[in-house]
Amino acid sequence: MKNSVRGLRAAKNWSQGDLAEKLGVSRQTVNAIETEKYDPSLPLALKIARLFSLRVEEIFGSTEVRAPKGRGQ
Amino acid sequence: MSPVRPFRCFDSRAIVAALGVAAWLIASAWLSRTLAPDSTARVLLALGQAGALAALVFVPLRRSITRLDELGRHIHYQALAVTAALLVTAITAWAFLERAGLPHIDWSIYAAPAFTVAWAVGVVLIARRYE
Repeated sequence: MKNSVRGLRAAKNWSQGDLAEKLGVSRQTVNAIETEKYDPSLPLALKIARLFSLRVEEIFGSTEVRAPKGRGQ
Repeated sequence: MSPVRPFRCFDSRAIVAALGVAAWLIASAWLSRTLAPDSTARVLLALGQAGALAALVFVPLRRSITRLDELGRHIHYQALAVTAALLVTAITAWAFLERAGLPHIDWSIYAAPAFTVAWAVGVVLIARRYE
């Protein structure tokens, strides 16, 4: 899944190690997320979103927010 | 490229536990020979051996893996699943080959070392995908 973690981290001038420490994961995990080889769990994705004061969907996947499908829509 | 170090989970206390279980297995095997075959005491002793072996496998395994972060756990769980499937397949396949005349393998001796080696190899191979 595409994500903007690397750009967000760079904007804050944090190293991968800094971000890993803030998230409580290894630097290798941060690297795997940034290179889009590993999709984080929902709790970790939420933690990342909170850290950057963004919504999960603004960091991971499409930035387009889809309306939920339902009756009468 | 950032190397993934999936073996940093290794807990040195597992060696102490392994030596303790090894001592128990040797002592209980010696004690077992002094008991009558098919006796209740001998069955209980065998259950004690099986229990010690199960504890040796599962307690350090759980303790080691839960120390890792989520990517590390993901790698280990994948490796364990693949290893378990391969080992079950290998044991079953060998049973067919034995019926065709190939030599008998005592899996009670070889299953644990084969599982450990296959798990370690699996962890290395799967960790490469995330580097």
